[in-house]
Amino acid sequence: MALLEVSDLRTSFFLRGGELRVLDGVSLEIEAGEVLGLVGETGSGKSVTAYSITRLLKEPGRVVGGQVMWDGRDLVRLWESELEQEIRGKEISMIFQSPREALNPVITVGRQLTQVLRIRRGMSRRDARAEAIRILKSVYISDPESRLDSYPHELSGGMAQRIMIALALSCEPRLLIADEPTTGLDVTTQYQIVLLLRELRDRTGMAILLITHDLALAAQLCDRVAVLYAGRIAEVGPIRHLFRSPRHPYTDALLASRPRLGLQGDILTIPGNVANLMRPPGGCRFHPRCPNATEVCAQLQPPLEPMDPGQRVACHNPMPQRQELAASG
Amino acid sequence: MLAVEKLVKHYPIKTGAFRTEQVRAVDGVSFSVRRGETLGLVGESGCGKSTLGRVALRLEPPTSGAVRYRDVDLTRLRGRPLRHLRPKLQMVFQDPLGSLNPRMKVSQTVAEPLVLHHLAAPREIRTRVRELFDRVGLSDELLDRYPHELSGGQQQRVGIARALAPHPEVMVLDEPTSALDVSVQAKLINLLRRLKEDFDLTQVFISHDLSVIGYLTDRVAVMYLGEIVELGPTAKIFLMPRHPYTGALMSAVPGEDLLDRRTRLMLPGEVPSPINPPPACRLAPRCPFVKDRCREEKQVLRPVEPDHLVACWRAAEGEISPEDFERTRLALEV
Ligand SMILES: Nc1ncnc2c1ncn2[C@@H]1O[C@H](COP(=O)(O)OP(=O)(O)OP(=O)(O)O)[C@@H](O)[C@H]1O
Ligand SMILES: Nc1ncnc2c1ncn2[C@@H]1O[C@H](COP(=O)(O)OP(=O)(O)OP(=O)(O)O)[C@@H](O)[C@H]1O
Ligand code: SF4
Ligand code: SF4
Ligand SMILES: [Mg+2]
Ligand SMILES: [Mg+2]
Repeated sequence: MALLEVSDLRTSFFLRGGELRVLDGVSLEIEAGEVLGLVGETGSGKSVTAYSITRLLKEPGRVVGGQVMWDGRDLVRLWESELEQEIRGKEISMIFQSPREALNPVITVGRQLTQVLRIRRGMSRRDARAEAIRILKSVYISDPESRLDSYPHELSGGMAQRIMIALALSCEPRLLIADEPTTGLDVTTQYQIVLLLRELRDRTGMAILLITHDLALAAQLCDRVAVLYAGRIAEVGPIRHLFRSPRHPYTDALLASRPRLGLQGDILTIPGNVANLMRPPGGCRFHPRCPNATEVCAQLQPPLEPMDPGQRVACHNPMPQRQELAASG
Repeated sequence: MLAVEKLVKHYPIKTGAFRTEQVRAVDGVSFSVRRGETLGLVGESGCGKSTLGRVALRLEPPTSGAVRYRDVDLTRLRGRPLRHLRPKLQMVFQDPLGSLNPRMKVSQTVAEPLVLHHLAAPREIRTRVRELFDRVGLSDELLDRYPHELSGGQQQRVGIARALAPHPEVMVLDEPTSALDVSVQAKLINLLRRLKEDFDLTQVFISHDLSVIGYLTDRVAVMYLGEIVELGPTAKIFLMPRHPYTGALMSAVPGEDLLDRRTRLMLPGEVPSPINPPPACRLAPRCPFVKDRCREEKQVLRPVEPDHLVACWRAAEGEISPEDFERTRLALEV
């Protein structure tokens, strides 16, 4: 049985202008020790997926359907007190996309870290301070003793980010949900974080849901990847298959829009704009922008179906399989 | 167009009950950007890129040094004359949510510079804001939302639209695409390139994303611990890095095959603190090529070619080359 099994998750925001159906039936599963990447267009619902799983959605957002199974319990229906006492920050830890938002601006970093350690791990003040210093070192922060007395605005963006990572890892969770954990980090620090996460995964069997725009980062860490488009999974499968032989036209276009050194002229982009979730296109939500679209696409929502070389794809007219590449993978 | 000379920015921080020390965020940096040029600024997290960006646009006063915009020394300007130049010098901040006013609708945020500097008639403002939203790929339905009601990438583009609103001549973009997926990022980058070509927009582009830097910039400045350690044309920095720190950085550039999980050239140890940086070459404690001289002699930028400067005597005197970086990396692979 999978560690986490999300099925048919539906989340809406109830706004002045009507219901915004942000997640429209998202299903995912993560095994222990597995790293699942979640990629997709900005605004496609990646962060909302994370917030829905941990039930940290803010008003006017609400999970309106589906299940989130964790250890035989459905987190969607669990009592808030049980979730807070037994799961959040203990078994499932989360790194937020905006680190500064998650850190309190008027309290020193040291106090915030030690508070969490004292509450969640029942440490004495002195032990918590020593542990906090150890944690800062583990994410490569120099001079941790004096950094403990800094306020969040006195840190560089990358430092704030690393402290968030440290905080999330401090309880050795079974599942880490990391929302853009390395944006704002330089490639060297990023690589250190990658090594740190890989090491934790190997040592403790921690699973990771990695939300990222950074395809290179996903390639470094993930076993499988799910591509989200306008609140639905477009394609999911082993990363080798998706990256070497994407079958969904959106995945294909996404991979083609990577900038590169020495590339001349404009970078390829996907025509049109992100789908309007207030009035989403019928049928396949990608159809107004899709080069392969045919009549059926506007009418019928394509189901997620297995396709070669080994992924599941929601598309009526998939891209041809790339033979030579698939074979080499 | 924009030149900084020996720029220094130190922040005092309390390190004990009665002691304050200086964080040497930017420590003697000089460079200039030509009109219509895009300069990339890369380097370790915490090395002072954002600080340099803010001080270069005079959003904060420097500790010492000068910033010249056209022929004006911005560091001497205060009050009215500085406010007058503001619209021409725009910054896109690294933390999109933190830089947007939470109590303003995002359309008001984008309109604010237009209203403040009387750059558009009240009737035109709504249209201008819509245009700007369109340019950065935001749909109209978001106009009346508040920042916290947007996704990370949407917030980031609001920040960019706001900076573009007053038709700036110089823009410092601090990690402007970090929250965007590659396809939306591609649109923005195409837009920035067009602004440069059509309007000679001068840009300083701060990013950790080396693929974007490689594609978009003309020259790159590499920073380490408050100093520039290498400066040169983008292709040379990427393909023939001279400074060992740049060498390590470039070994992390993703290749054509993203799935190639090859070992990178890692510098051992931690980044030293900017409170007490190493006295001579700041990379010395971590550099695989260190010699005694590196710990004694302060390193300054010296040309290896007329347009390519490096702050490492061994590289400048031809003792180490890019092949040495590759050899060191391969040694780590086993
Ligand atoms: N509080 C809110 N009120 C209204 N709409 C919201 C709110 N929070 C999110 N949304 C909308 O939900 C959609 C999904 O947002 P989400 O933050 O999950 O996107 P994302 O995939 O994480 O994007 P990004 O990559 O830019 O972070 C977006 O269209 C966003 O505008
Ligand atoms: N207001 C401040 N008070 C004290 N120290 C500060 C302040 N702002 C920045 N610093 C310090 O200055 C140094 C440089 O910070 P800066 O934000 O410029 O780094 P950066 O290169 O932009 O890093 P990143 O890539 O992580 O954003 C850091 O050590 C930081 O802690
Ligand atoms: S179902 Fe049709 S519109 Fe949707 S991705 Fe496939 S081909 Fe394109
Ligand atoms: S001066 Fe010495 S320590 Fe500094 S980068 Fe060059 S070789 Fe390394
Ligand atoms: Mg998000
Ligand atoms: Mg910064």
